[in-house]
Amino acid sequence: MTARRVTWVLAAVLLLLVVVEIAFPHHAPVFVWHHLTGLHAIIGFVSCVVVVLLSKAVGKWFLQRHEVWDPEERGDG
Amino acid sequence: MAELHPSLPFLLAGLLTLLFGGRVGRVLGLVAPVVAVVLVALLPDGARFTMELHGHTWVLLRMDALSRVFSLAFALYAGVAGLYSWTEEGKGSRLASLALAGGGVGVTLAGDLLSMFLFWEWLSIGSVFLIFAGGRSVSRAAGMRYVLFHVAGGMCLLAGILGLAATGHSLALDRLTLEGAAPWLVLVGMAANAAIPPLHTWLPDAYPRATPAGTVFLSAFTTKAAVYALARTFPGTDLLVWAGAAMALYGVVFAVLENDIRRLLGYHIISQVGYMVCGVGLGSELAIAGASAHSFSHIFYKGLLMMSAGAVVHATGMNKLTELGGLGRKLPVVLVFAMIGGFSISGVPLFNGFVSKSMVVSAASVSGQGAIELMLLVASMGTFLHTGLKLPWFTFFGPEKGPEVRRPVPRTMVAAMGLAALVCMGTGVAPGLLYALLPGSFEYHPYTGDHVVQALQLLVGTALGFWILRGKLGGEATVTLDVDRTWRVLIPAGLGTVTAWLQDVSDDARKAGAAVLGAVPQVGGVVLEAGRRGNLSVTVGLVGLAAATLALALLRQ
Repeated sequence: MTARRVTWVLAAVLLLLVVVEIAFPHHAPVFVWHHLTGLHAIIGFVSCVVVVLLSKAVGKWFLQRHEVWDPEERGDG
Repeated sequence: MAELHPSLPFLLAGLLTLLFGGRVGRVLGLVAPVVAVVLVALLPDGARFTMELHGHTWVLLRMDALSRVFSLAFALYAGVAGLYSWTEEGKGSRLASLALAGGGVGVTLAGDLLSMFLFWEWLSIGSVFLIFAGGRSVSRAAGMRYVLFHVAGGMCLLAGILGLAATGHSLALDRLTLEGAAPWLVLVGMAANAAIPPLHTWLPDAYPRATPAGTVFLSAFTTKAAVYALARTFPGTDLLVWAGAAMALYGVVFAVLENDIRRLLGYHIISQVGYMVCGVGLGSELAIAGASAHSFSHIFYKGLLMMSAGAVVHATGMNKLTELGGLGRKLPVVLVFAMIGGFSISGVPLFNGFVSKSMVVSAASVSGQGAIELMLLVASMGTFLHTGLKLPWFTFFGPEKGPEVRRPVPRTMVAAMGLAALVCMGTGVAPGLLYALLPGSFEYHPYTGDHVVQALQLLVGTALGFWILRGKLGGEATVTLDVDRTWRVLIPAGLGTVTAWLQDVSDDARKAGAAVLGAVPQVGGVVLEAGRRGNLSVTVGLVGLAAATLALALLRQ
């Protein structure tokens, strides 16, 4: 399977799961977002993209260093 | 038989190993946990072992549901880890692992703070020698930093306990309120062992520096014993709700940047312990049961992940994502177990993380903590991203960087991974087995239609994000700046400057004819230099002295 096809298959499965959720609404809603269909799909995808891009940006800007702390383990902190 | 303390088999096994050597210890490393499991199972609720000494009633054992679930998990896991370590040579590491397990079981059974402290230190000593047993210079250095952290944390805990005693407070291992310095010191001492940031760096620093089997032992006991202690003393403390949710996310961010596979898993211990700390802070019966269930699950799935990572290190001699890749065909059995561990920690339905983690998330929701619920869901995404996708992809699939399998994975390691996987899947498919052990009365059904669909949405959404961004997620040969850079780089550099300055002052005094006066800064310089170079006794003394002084100053206020 090509990389592009994997992307489409995952997107299709995700969409299917959002449709399936209509049949299984939150059984004990507390907050307003518990009524939103597809909330977990959005959290999964959007927070994944945000966490990866944000962590990498902070890493490049500040957290990742080309330093040697232990001579025996170069690049391993 | 039921009258024996379940830590006793570990103590006896340790003594016999000391007398008869590592080969005997290898067998006893399996026998002791089995005997301990039987003892835990036979002890009825309400059983107590007490001892009068120095005017204090030491409650060495007080059995109830909370103690049972933690001690049972520790004893069972010690057997699995003992099997994993079967081929490891050396009496020292065998002794250390027995001490670690015996101390861990002891902490979860103690009925008063002083008895708990005794086992707490027993556990720490076992951990330190297991790190030293890694045998490399980085193992010794990381072990030293571990000693310093736990001496300081232990001093805080002891000072807090003595402070409680001095104010006439009961020393029973029961709920404390954060009024006055003493309970705060107890909380800080426990937080250090629970690896709550910024007191967490000892964990990702030290765990990857032990031997593969050493890391497998280390990953289970210290943090979960601290979670148990927090559940006894500070349930329902709001501060822990936020600290837990924050540490769940902290571990996720650092795991994005990590290159060493065992260090990456170390950051995920911090993240997962965050759920447990959060559950303790929420304090409801469902939340405490959830924290206990997740501790039980975590011990086995994290153990399985550490075992599979250790098997990769054992087979290839490599531990970095930048060096690994394409091992799936060479180590297919290890791949299967790594995926079972990854699915379990990620909360995939039918695996144990699904039935335990969701209890804490639901408890947050029921308690009206909406922000906490959302933070924990984002942390769940991060867990799957790293341990279910990034780690297996860049180790077993992905671009092959040519790691060779230099030696086969021993059958005992494979059998141990099989047992851990059995627990992960068994309690995932039949959660009633786990729920029957939990404290409190609660009603929770993990396998509802909405819950399963939501979990699958979160997982597939994460998988889609990972697939699109996988090019950005490969390892990089850098060090990640965590708060430990303060004492690993900045303080030694500062101490070097101060030492050089003291030497100059000493030289000037000698030139001026004041030889005796000049000796004072010189001695100061020698002590600081010894500390900077990591001399064990000097640095432990300095840190212990500083922690004790601080604790006493706080208590006198």
